[in-house]
Amino acid sequence: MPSRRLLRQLTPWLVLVTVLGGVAMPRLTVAAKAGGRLVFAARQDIDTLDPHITNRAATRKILLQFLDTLVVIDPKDGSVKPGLAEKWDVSPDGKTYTFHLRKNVKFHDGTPFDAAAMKFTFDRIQTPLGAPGVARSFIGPYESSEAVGASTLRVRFKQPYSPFLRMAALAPLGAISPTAMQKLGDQFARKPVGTGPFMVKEWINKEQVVLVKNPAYNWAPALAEHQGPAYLDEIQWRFVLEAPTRTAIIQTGEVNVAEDLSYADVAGLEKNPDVRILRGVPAGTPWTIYPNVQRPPTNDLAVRRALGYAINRDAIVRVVFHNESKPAWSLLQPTTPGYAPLAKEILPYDPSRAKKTLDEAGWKPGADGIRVKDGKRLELLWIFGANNGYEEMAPLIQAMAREVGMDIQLREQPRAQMEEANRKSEHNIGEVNWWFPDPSIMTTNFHTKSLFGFNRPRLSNPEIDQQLDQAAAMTAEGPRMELYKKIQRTLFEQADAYPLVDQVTIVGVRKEVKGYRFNVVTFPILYDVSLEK
Amino acid sequence: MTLRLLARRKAALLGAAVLGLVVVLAVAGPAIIRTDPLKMNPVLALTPPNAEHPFGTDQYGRDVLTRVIAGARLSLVTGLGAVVIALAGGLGLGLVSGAAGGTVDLLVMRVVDVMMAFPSVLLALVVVAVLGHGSTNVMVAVGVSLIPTFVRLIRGNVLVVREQPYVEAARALGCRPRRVTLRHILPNIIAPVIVLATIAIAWSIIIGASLSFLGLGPRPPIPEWGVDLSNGRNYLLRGWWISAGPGIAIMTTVVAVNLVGDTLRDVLDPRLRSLTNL
Amino acid sequence: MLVSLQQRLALAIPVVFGVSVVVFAIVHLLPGDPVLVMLSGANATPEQVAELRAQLRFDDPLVVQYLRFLRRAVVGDLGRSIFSKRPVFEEIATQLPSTLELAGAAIAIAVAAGLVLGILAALRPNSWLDRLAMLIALGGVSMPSFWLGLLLIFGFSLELGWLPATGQGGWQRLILPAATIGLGYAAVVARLVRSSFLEVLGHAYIGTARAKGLAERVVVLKHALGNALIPVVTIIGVQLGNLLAGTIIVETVFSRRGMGRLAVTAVLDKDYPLIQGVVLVSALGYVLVNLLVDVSYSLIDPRIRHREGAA
Repeated sequence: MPSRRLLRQLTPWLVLVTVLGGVAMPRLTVAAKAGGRLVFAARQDIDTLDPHITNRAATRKILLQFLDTLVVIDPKDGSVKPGLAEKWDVSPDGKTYTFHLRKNVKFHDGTPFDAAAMKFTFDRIQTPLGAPGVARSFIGPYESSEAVGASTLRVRFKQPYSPFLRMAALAPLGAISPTAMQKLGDQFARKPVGTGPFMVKEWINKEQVVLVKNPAYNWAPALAEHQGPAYLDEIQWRFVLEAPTRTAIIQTGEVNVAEDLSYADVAGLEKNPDVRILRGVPAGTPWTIYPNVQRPPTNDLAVRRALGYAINRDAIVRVVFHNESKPAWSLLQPTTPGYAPLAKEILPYDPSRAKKTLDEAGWKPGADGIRVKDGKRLELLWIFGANNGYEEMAPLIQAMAREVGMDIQLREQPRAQMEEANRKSEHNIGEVNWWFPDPSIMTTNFHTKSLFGFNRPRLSNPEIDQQLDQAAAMTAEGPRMELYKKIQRTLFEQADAYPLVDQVTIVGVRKEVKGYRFNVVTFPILYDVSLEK
Repeated sequence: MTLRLLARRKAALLGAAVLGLVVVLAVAGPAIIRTDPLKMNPVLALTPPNAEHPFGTDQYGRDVLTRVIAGARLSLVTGLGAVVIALAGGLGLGLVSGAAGGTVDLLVMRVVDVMMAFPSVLLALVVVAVLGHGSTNVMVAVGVSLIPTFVRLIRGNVLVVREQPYVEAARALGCRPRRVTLRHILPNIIAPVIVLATIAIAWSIIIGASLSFLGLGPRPPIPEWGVDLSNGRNYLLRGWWISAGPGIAIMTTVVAVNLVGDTLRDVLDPRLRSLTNL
Repeated sequence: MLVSLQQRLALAIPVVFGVSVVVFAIVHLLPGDPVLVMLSGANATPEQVAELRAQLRFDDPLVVQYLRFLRRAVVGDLGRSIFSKRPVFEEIATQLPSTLELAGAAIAIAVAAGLVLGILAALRPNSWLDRLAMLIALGGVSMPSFWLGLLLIFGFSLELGWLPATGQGGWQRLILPAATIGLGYAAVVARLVRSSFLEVLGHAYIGTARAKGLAERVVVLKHALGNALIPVVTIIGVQLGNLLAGTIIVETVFSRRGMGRLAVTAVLDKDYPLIQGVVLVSALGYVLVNLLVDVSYSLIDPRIRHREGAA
């Protein structure tokens, strides 16, 4: 029988062992969580896996799994945290960024990640690779980079570029392996090589992308919930374009995660005990349509204003989104710095005002209810992209426009053709929305230099250009946001854009999936995901 | 024997009655309907079938029954138009090829064989992709893709009828070839052609609906059965009636057409059954 | 009207050539500069335009271009897809097996269902069973396939949980999509089987004495089955074109890979080399299958076989 004295001496040790054991236990269960294959049902098909060529959110979501970025953005407060870069400084003039890189990081092909590799990555974005990819827009007025030793990278810009820290967190600016790029050439777009927690195993066109665990992964950002390799062995990223099919298969368990579920089905799915519905409000721009200011009749300010007054956002929220979202009154999402719901006062829903504006501008109602001026019908052409998200809203807005005497013609085109038609200025109404953590996205939407890219309103206003450039260069956060609000005010007064509804991401996740997270733009982070048996 | 024919006739009568109703709706529909098929009423969105809206309302609050009636016209016209095109092409090529015989026949049939090698929907896809959206283009595309089937049938029958004694007699009497073809051959091959044409109407409606599903049909907000059926597919859980309306309309019309076609075939000549089995 | 096998083979060759000419002509028949047309959706740089122009050599006389096209096609070089930059041959090779699998399963279901319904109907002609069987068969062909497919998914996959709705691999994933296509043809097959059976049964009862015992009946049934087989096989050959049409829709609804989906995206994207490749392969496939149908025709029907003599 141990004496009481012995017991008293042992007790602290027993407590310590128990506590340590308690702490160690989760580690043991952590090890048990490893393994398994996750099947992800994606809504849109991809055009390439090359981060520097793509212009699709669908591709960016996959890039996020196999590429690492210099920094990451904390979705809770929007602050920038270390990724592949441990620390960084910005020069006072805002033109030079110096990154101190993490050591002992390797690419999937075994070659080391260093400053030279990052320089190669950024330089490559400048080469004309054909399509205007988003990487080019994100990297802004990039001039050059310099590798100072193996672990320090200096990035220089032609003008001060304050959004760059946030841009460096976006997957299209993730690190790619120069060795792999040079070896694979054209084929790099099919099997790219990065440093991320997963590796691309294969891409079967129009069907799926298969990713496998990177066993050497040991450099997760501090923001992640664990360190070391990912839990999942494999991810099957399947392209399931039909919304009703996605709804069906998340319920049958054929897939573990289904994104972008149909708003109409959400209420029913919430009742299903096997499925969890996750909602997120991404940073970026809301669902927005833009009038072409260079093409009649939308080159007429009265017409543009009238269209703005004719749009009933509440009806769209109710009918198309089934009350899962809210009307959008700013050119930015509520979770984006610079958000300002100014359209509510400048372009409110007021059909009688719309009619009055058109009357005063000389557009008189014709026999079929559509207005006519100088013998021309008030016809607007809206070229919308297939499976781009605006399909349900378009007929509703068409009906609303008809109420005030405008005839919107709807034409559906595949994404690539739509982009081409927009660049050729063939449209009166264009559409685009972004998942993006910074208000500088407005440069991509409205600047003259974006005319070759995503400038849907075909706007070329020197004053707006100058203000956008200025805002992109400002380092003081407060005044910078004030300037973006001022720009939005001007754009609304000129009726150069109509934000419609806030973007809300709705993802269905089965009960066995643990650790699913959204990043700041609600893209999936699968690194911490494990499957419970 | 007579019992069987009578039963068939009953089915055909039913089919014909349904078809008649559909045609009447297609022609007079827009005049009799009370509500505007284009009018959106978001407050009433997704109401199930009730007394006020027998087929319920769609996601925009539009009355589904009204849209089905209004859509009858476009759907039928597209189906009929396609068959008219196929018939014209088929008669033209088939009569010439069958009646002329020889090298002309050989050439035409090879061309037809080549045409048949291209899957009809793929052909329709390419035509619409080149010409653009809209019911007219769908009609042309489907019609062109059906021509080879008609040519084969018509030519086959022409070859058979050509050997008949009355045709020989006409030729012996010195009638010019064109007169022989039009006055003597054509009326005797018309029966199976009518049967095929009837069934082809059903095919056209279905192919047209499939093209709408692929995004190639008429543009919103025009009501049309194929387009409306396709648009309702995202609401199978919350609003099954949106698809059910146009879906039932398509099914009923197609079944009716098939019933009429079947009976026509039996009535006109049972022996022709083998010639029209395609 | 019966043509010998050798003649059929000889006739197939000009058809193959005709197909190749049409496929070749697709790009040239369209208005505008073919190179710009081909790249219209691909956001190409001026360098890429020049490269494609040099590669395709559209300035040569048409005949020369056609011969070059033929020469390349014969060795399997059908160019590169504009969008994916992979060789067209490789794209098709990846997608084709899945479609063949689907088509095979669809035919199997069509024949099986058609036989069952047709025989049931023929056993009691003009009864309610007959009417019901024919009506069920008719139902399959009266619905657009995308609707039928979605209904099957919601019924059998979602509500009943019996079968998976998407993806590749395993015979279970094949059932719903194959049924969607197959049920459409079951109607045609059922009708044929029914009339063939009735024909034979009619002869049997008129011609011979009362069927005595099982052996006679079995012989009659076997004869009926054999008689039914000919038109069924013919139908399969003729309807093959529609089979690809069926796969186009079904592959999209069920998220399967395959030629149908490849064809749709190629056409919508205006990816001309890919369109040419897909059309060429499906047309050639059609010709090949028809030849096979004719061969099996002569094998099934002894009259034809005897006329041919030893093959």
